[in-house]
Amino acid sequence: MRALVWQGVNDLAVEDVPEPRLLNDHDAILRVRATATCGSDLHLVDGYIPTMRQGDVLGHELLGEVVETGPGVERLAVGDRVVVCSIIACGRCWHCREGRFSLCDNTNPNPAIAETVWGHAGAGIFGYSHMTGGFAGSHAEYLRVPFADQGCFPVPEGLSDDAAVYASDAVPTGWMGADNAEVQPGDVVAVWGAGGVGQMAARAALLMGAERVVVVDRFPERLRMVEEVIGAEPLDYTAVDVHEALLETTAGRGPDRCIEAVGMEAHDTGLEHAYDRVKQALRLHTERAAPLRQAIRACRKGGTVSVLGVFGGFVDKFPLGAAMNKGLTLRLGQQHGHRYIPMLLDRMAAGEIPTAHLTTHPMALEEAVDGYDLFKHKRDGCVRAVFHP
Amino acid sequence: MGRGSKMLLTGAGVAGIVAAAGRARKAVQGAQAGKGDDVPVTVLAAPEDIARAWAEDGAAPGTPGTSGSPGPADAEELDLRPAPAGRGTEVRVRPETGRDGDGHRIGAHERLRRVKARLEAGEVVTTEGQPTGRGPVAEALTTAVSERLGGGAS
Repeated sequence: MRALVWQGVNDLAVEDVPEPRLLNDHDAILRVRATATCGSDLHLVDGYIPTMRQGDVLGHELLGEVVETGPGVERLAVGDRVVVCSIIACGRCWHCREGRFSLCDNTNPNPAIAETVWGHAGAGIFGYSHMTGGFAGSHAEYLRVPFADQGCFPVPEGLSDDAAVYASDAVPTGWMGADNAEVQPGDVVAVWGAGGVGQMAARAALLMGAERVVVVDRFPERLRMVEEVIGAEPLDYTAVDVHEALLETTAGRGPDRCIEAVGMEAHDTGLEHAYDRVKQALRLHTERAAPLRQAIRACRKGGTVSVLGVFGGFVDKFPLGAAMNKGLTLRLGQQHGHRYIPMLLDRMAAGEIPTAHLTTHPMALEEAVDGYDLFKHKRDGCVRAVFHP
Repeated sequence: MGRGSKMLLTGAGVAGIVAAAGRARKAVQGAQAGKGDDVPVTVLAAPEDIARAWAEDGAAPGTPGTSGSPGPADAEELDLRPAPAGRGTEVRVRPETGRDGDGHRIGAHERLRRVKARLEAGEVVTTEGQPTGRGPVAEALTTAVSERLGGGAS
């Protein structure tokens, strides 16, 4: 079959690889119908998340059709159209039973790397380095899904592939960001990042009753989506001082809830960004975290900062003093998608969570290298490239 | 599982469960003081099931890659105590007791991981045999290097 493989830093190729087969009793094989680029993939492409190996298949946000099931699969049938949570969870360990599926104890077959770096290993993730299990990704014609009964969710009729695919990652990640932020009716919420996840976090905050939601970014097409599709307020950080603008918006209080949806390769302006870029390039730290610093500084006293962006290692100049002295609550984590996806699919089908607009570039899998180039450099207004194998 | 229960295995079998209500704190203090080399894991399962799975490791149905004959369970090193708040059983094992079904010595950590996964998830998820662009020779080489470095076969 054809698949997009990682050949090295900034070196991708569409190649022939073997088709997947059932490896465990609870596996299913899916024919991939739609597989989306995600901002967190760029950390792999750019070499900032280590433990990728030449030949690894990328991709973790997908929709597919079941073509084969293992003997332990009970809830799925051949022909089912499903979205697959990007996180792989057994559904039966203590963390899964507590609803913290991305902390699953049993789905990373190679936990030693994560245990060494992070202290413990989290769940496996499709196509996301050997630190998260080394699972083949979804940018391929077929995908093997471990614990398929847990991770595959039937898609309601009427929801297109290009809209539903985001129920795999962007929508539940964004929802969890707002959930973790404990958004309350009447809150003012600030979201850093107007990509797919940031837009979904903003929409979730509005659905949870936020009075106002401000989304910080610099790309005009994304800020337009924030205003016209999501119903939130755009804020261009290249045009204004974000901190001053947020204080002005809240009459000095600061946003009640701040959601970081950018991650380790954040862009910013000024000397701080130059400092971060140099240190990251020299591997003296692994994260460019300007939005996180801004969020902590801007957040109102006693507020909540929720971190959705993917971070991998160590960050410099973390404003712990501000966080401590303002009594902030910090919430972080990979998405516990299994907890949210059925509810979110219903909301998407009901029109409460618009997603189709995110697919600015539907493409064939053979065009995936060009798709990643468009996506990485935000060319041609690209928000998400979605491949159809 | 009863509060304060403790299980020690001897030889290849189960020596018994010692009802030790009231002694749990003392037992934990002993573990902290004298068993710093132990490999610990918490398993959401009853101690007798853990003992059985430990002894049978290597012959788990539905678990590709571990289909050899079971290695001897040097079980006097396996220590089982109830975990707090309904989290199952705390398991501690001396590293030198771990070995896989093919007779190759592996870390106790890896063996405990397999036992935990079999009991909790019903199988040990693997990535051996999945698609990559590496080709069979390069894949075998990277897998071997990964295993030698202490990782699993991913």
